[in-house]
Amino acid sequence: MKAFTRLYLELDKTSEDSERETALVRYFDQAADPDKLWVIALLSGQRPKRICSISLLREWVEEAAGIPSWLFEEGQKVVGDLAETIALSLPFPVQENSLRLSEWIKLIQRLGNEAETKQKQAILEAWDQLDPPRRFVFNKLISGGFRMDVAPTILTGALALHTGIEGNKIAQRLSANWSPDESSFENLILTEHALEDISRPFPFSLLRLLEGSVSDLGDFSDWMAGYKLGGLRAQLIKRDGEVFLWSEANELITPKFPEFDHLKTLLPDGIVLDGDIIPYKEDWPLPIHELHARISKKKLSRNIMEQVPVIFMVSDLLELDRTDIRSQPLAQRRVKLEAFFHHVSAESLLRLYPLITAENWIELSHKRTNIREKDSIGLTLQKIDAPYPTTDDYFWKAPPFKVYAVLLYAQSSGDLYREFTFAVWNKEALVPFAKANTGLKTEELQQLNSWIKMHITERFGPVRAVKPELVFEIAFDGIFRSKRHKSGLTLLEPRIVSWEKDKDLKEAHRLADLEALIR
Amino acid sequence: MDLLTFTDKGLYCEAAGIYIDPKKPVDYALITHGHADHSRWGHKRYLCAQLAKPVIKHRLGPIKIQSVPYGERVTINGVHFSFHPAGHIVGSAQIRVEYKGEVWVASGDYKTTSDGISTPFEPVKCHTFITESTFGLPVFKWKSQDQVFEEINAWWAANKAAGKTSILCGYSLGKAQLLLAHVNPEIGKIYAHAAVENVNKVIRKQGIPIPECTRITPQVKKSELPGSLIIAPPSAVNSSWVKPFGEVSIGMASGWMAMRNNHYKRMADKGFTLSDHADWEGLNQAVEQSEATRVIVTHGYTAAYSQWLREKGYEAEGINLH
Ligand SMILES: [Zn+2]
Ligand SMILES: [Zn+2]
Repeated sequence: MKAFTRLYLELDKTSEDSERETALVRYFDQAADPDKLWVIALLSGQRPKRICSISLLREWVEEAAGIPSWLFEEGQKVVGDLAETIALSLPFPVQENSLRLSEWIKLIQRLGNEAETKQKQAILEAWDQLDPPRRFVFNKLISGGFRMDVAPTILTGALALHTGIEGNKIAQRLSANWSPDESSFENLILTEHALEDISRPFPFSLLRLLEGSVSDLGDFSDWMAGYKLGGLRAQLIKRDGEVFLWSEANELITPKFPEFDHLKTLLPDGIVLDGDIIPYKEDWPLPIHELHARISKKKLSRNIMEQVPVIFMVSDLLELDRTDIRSQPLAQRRVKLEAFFHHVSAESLLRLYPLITAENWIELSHKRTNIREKDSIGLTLQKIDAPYPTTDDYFWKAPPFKVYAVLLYAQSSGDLYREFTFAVWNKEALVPFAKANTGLKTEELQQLNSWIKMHITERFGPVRAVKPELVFEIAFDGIFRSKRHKSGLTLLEPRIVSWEKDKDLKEAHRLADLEALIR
Repeated sequence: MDLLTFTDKGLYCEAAGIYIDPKKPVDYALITHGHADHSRWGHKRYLCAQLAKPVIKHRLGPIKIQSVPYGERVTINGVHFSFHPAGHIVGSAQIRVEYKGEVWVASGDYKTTSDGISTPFEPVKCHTFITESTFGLPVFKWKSQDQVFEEINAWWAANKAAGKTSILCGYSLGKAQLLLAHVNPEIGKIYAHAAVENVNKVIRKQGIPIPECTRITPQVKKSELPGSLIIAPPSAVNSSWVKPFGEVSIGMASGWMAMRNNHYKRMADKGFTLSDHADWEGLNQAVEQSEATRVIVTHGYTAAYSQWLREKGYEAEGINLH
């Protein structure tokens, strides 16, 4: 269990995707098959049943370590995690134990059926054979408290690197119903599954953020412009009577959207559509975070499906009548796509992204200025003669919202204050409405840090309140109502544009100005 | 009247008219060791253990300071004082105070295990023992120093193999020298931050073997660094300082690293549980070996540790000096 403990601590330490993937690959490359299978199970939320309560463990540890209850609690106040406090409160192990993860789990599962005295004896013995980090992981496993949220795409990516099997195949294999007690690594990961071939998506054409000037893209007539709503990029596949949805991150997300099951009867076979899943209710797109909230739910309730209904907005057609048409130029695919929509009536689930007509870049730029009135977060620019995928696929963001706001709180990370909370006026009071941690140059950040140190008025944990005095311009890409926030608002990607050193406190915007931005 | 009392200027011996590690300027200060929270600037006269003097002078500049070897008695106004090894850093001392047959020991900061460079801790029998409790909870237990250095050397070697520069953080006085004395110089080249190397020089002059290392300056070529080890104080290590060194791994050596959630979590990629303070077992051992019946607990988990001692039958109280 040494290798697994190391993996657990590495995953626990970082939230950086690439580092987590590297740690997983390193683990898989050296682990035995039964252990790999259990790691896959644990990381996808299948954990062994809890065999005893954590409070019982506490009793035993106080006895084994010879410390009174209150003293154990003092330790817990400092350490935080109960399983970790237990691991650290015990004396160092006197023996060594080389059982592997899967063997430990078997042992733990067997203990589940034993009487309490047997359990106690076995657990005390285990504690005596494991060093504190392994003890900590062991405690998590036996108390049912094991949690390690790793994005499915990271796990899939790591397994793909480890096995050399394509990521979407792995994702398909993992999406089946399986249990680590009945399956094997060989069966689950290395063996072809029945529906694999028909479910396969095409590699996505990457939509790149347009950063320079549009006129650099060349002749306007070579390009096609379309609206873009805030949603989740996906390919929708209908083959052999089945519907599959794949996210751009190579994740099979069909089970998350049962409403698209209806398309089984509404669409012909041999169709692949590119587009976005949009949270959409009563003819309005909902804020994107509501879609994220729906996706993150482990169990999809009727309630959430009613609160956050979805539609699929189609931007491209990649397969028609079982024929891959990706090599055809975009203009031709678009003609076929529009014709396809004439024959299909699935209005409540499937819609076509309209194109934006303009004569030249200047007219298009004008239309972009008001694009939010069409609920769009920006527009897409695609070359009309390009195949799929292409590098000539751009996303041109709608211009951001900008407001002036007052610095209210600062939070340090490492050696500097890096995360800032900003406020706007509501009558005579300042109401916090945005947190931002990007946008300042290094020198400005340093300068701001020295200012903060001299103007702290209060401390709450890692957060410092500062004297309301500095004004900043804040940009953001979207604004929505939110009951969970003090201001009643939540912003999309707030960031600092500039430190407005000449602006007076009173020149900051008012809450009413922000509310007026919401459609 | 107690032989030593806690005043706003610090620990005071009225019979002798001296202070131990005073916080505010006084006429006569007895200093346990060179750390900034114990040896401060501005006293008229200083007295310390012989081995502590060079570092204290280096840190405080021109001061009027005398020193005595460990164990040698100095009598001030009829009160006998002597300094005894505390094992915390080079020259650190417990101060024994004896007056009319009553003995107190102010232990300063201490560590009961031997670290190979500071003079090992010696238990001193007394009636009243003043102990720190920086790590005075059962969750703090140190594994052996050899084991920790095995981890440190393995980490350095792995970073070297991956073409990374290793940066290992420890306070410039004490921890940095402990690290230098035990990392394996065969792995690669060792650099030190200027603040560390300045202290190294002072300590090397005392005949304590601290391996040679190169001062890290803007002139050091970036291309030389991958595979090497840089010892630096934690306060110096921030993103802008580290930037020119290319790909780095940052290690932190501290007792706090025993916990997953610690102050350095964001800063360090790798933590090593290495402290110059006694752990839970060490504190209990020191208290027991002092044979004191009264214990005064300062610095750290004073309330919890004194409660623990009371439950074990000691006359104990916790005092917060801050
Ligand atoms: Zn110290
Ligand atoms: Zn200290």
